[in-house]
Amino acid sequence: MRSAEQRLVEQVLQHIGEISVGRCSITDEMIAAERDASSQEIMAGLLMLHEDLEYGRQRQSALLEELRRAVHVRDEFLSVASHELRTPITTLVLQIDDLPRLLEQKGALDNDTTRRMKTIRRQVDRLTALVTALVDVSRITSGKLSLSKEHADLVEIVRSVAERFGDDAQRSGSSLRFADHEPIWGEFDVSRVDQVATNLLSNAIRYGLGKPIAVGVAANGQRCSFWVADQGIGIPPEHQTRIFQQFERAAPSTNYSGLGLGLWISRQLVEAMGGTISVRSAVDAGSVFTVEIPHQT
Amino acid sequence: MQIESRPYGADAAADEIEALRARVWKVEDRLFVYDEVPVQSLFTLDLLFDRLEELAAGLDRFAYVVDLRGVKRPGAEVRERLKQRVDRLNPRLAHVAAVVGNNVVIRAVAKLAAFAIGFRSFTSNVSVEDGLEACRRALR
Amino acid sequence: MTTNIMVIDDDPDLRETLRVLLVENGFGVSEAAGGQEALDLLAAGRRPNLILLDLTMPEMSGWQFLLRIRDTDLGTIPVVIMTARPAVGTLPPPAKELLRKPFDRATLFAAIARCASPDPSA
Repeated sequence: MRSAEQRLVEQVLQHIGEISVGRCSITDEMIAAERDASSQEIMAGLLMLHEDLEYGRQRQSALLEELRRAVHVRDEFLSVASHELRTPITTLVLQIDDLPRLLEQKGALDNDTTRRMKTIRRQVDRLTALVTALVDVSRITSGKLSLSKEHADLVEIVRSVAERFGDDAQRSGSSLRFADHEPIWGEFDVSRVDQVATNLLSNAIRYGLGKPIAVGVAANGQRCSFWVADQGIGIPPEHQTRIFQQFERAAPSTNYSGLGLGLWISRQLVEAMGGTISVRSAVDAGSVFTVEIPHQT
Repeated sequence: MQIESRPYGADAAADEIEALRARVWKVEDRLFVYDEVPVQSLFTLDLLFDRLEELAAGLDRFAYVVDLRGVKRPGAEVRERLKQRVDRLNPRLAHVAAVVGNNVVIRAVAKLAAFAIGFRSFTSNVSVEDGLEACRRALR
Repeated sequence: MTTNIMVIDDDPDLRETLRVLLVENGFGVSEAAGGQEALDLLAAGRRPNLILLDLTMPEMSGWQFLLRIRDTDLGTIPVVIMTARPAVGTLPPPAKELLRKPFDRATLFAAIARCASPDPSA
């Protein structure tokens, strides 16, 4: 025969157990019906504990919802803003591209004006790259990224990126060598592979301290890879994972500009292709970034 | 005027607000009584605690008796505000005496708040007179 | 034989830039600031070899314009759409290609070369 005390202990433990998983069977009526004042008091206490916990949970999920909504609004805004920017940039690009012809007509095309126009065109390209980065971030974070594959030669894709950066590399003092390779055919999203190679190569030039840069491609059975190697400032080991995170930069923003998005976007794109991106680096010795992707991305 | 058994809000009339504020008063030096309303709301808690803070302004030590007889068991949101308001006073509180009569459930409410805040000195009493005595002892 | 291009875009700067660019490069150009204006021009008898169509326009969007001409005799005119969004999926006819903004003159001319019909439809 259990004593009243033992029964109370059982009861209390039962309720504590239920409350710990978010349930409570105690009601005000039950409490009022208890004959023992101690039982009443303790049941009231337990019921209020449960209510406090519920209240806390509700507030947390309201906060979470608010946060989710804010992130969504932000991403939508980023998306709209970056789309809006594209039309004026289109006009800029077309106008600038047409200037040489116009200047020549007026006999004003010379080294000065040519150099000036190249500068303007480069800045517009930079603007475009920033706008594209903004759009990509919002598409990636809202899960709207999609790849479009076509039959292409990886070597050709990477080589054309290297060629495009010839001038930039030269201006920064770096020699740029592309290690040629026989064609590597596969199903690739050409513009996305281009985008990743562009990101890696522009980083190599930016952080390369004017030292030689090498770009290469390789095929390893089912997978193929390309790499970009510089001999510049390098990345300390403790930062080597961080640099692939959103808005992270290992280089001080007082010295180097940029949004800190490139490597994160590159990683998202490479992983969407079923591939991996990695870095080998040491401070002041430079970095080698390698992207490995399957033949069929 | 009679305060009814319903939660009062910011839309309360001026005379209702006066009647509510009148439920907190000074008994003697450093000693106050807070006669809680039957149905508490965030509004009434803020109103009455503001009044108590007005009356206790400048005192480095004081005590109060809170009469909880006739109070309906408050919900989580109200209890949270209550704890916040009392916590603000806690550094200066020499004693809080909760008059609960024979209402066991309300005694539990008072104790839970007391434990959550960590009162220096707390009693639950059956009558206002007992509560005042407990406060005077603590103030000596 | 001059290739005629109809430019449909609500942005006056871009429309003007495209017009000048195309004219300077030997194309014939007609312009419309929106879908309805374009439909009016086409109804009046204009038959370009290619339509350059902006997607985002007030009142009638590029998609809505495409829907309007698709099942008519105007639906044989090839359309190149211009948009800030990246390509997604197959394009509904009569859209042949998508030019993602911003694009340069080389990209534009290559698309025109690929898509313009040799003879305007009757």
